[in-house]
Amino acid sequence: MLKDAVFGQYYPVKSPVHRMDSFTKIVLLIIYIVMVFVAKNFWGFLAVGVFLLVTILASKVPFKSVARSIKAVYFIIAFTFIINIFFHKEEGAKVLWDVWLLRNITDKSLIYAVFMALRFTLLMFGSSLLTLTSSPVELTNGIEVLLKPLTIFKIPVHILALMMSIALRFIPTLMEETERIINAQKARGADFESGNIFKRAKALLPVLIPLLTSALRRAEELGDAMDARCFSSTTKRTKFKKLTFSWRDLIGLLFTLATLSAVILCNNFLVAII
Amino acid sequence: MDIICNNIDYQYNKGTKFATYALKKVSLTIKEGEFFGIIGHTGSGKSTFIQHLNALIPIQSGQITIGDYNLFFEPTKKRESKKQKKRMKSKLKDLRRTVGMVFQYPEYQLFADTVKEDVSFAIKNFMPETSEAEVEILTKNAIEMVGLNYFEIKDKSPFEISGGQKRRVAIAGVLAARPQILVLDEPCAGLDPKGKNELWQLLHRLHRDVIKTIIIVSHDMNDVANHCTSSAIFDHGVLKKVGTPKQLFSDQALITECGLEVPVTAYLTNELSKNGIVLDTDFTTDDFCVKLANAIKNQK
Repeated sequence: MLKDAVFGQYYPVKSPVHRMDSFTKIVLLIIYIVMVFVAKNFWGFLAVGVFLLVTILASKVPFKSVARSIKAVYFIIAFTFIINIFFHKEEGAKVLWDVWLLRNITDKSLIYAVFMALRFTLLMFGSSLLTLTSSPVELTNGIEVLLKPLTIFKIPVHILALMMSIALRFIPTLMEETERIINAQKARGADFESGNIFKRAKALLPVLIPLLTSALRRAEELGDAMDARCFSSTTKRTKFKKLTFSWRDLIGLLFTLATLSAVILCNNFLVAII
Repeated sequence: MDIICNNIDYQYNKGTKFATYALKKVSLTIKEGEFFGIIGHTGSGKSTFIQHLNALIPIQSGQITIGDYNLFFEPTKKRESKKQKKRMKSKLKDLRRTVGMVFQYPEYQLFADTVKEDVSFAIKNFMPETSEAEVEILTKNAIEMVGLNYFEIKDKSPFEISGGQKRRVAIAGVLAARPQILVLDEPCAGLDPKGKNELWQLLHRLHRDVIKTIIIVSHDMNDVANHCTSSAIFDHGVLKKVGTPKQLFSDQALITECGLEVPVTAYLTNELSKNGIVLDTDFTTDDFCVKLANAIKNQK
């Protein structure tokens, strides 16, 4: 259904990873992304993989839910894999096949393509783990802290954060609304599944127009409700939930840094086996 | 055309950790000609149930028979022939045409530039071969059926007319396809008393003239007592009881147990009986008043 399409839905269970500070989690995700791109050989990827596996186990999110994130990008992964396998050039590479369509495939390009696909997969798994273990509100709080330094340049970070949390808050509401409107139009015989792409796009109009008007109506109502509560964007606001750095975050940080150094070690001092 | 439901089960998020039952073993028969009420508190499964009736929700287990249509659980086959798919689709369209569905706040589904265009949407979908002239006649009929002036309203935008008119136009948009069964989810929600009264009159007129069976979802027991010939009570996905309003509302304990309130007439009848005045009423306002007046006269 439509609800499944939302990227990385929050998985509500209690685990040490869930209870970590969202700001720390975002920073750790950035380190993790660096780590994925720094890894150059099998041992490096193994270290990243072990790190990911331990984190998933600690988060108590079933592997299936994490793996679902790849559904959205499997085409991109396949595409980069194929492009790399044909066009990656490196000195001293040995040609494996050179028949008909399978030209220029070398051992190096094959390995490179596999690594590239691995990188994408690890990237998707890691980032979906962040959204699976932190609720949208926590995420926005984390991002707000992350962007705090930008206030020096007079960028209204707290307003951006508010906009983001409102947008996130309304995704499920609008999803529900969409489903309802789709059902209502289906009951009037609308057909969203047949015909060519233009016909289908046109068939969506009876859904999009009511959806847009209802979104505008909701926005207006929300604005009124905020006015009624004397909301003002210029006054300094206090936080209901303060982010705190706890021992869990420290363990997470140390673990991540340890893996990062392991990856760098693998790159520089270990001779690649494959 | 009777509606026969047999052992309907439905779970949200089936197969996951978050699976919850919305319907449990619901068996219910709604006879042709009835003005049927479905009552229950919020989240009792009544909306889920009515969406089964025109296959907006695919059946998970059980069976529904509506006239010639048979709905049951069908595992989705990956390799269905195109012909088969097409046949399924046209059957589905026929069913959706036969069972008209008016959702809660139907005015939020209006989309077209003009009222005329919006009302004719269903006709064009269900009967693509209809000529322009015929579409116009059907549209005119539908708009007049809901008590609006066709020539006054047809070229207006559905976003500029009043709330009550919007709802009528939305209902006309369903009636235009000439359904035999009409299902309405909380048709009176958000209307003022006058609009509510007019809507009930409209529904009774439709029931008398064009629609064979009307099914109403409501949690206003007064409406159900006054207008329905028969009703069913849902509670947490379970069908608790089916019967005439008289049968249902005599059992005050059951109604309270389901998180609902009995209609005012039933409450008064109960209180009066405690004081020695026993009325045999069917709980419609008219009947209650007549019986009460008689009782007072007799006491004198």
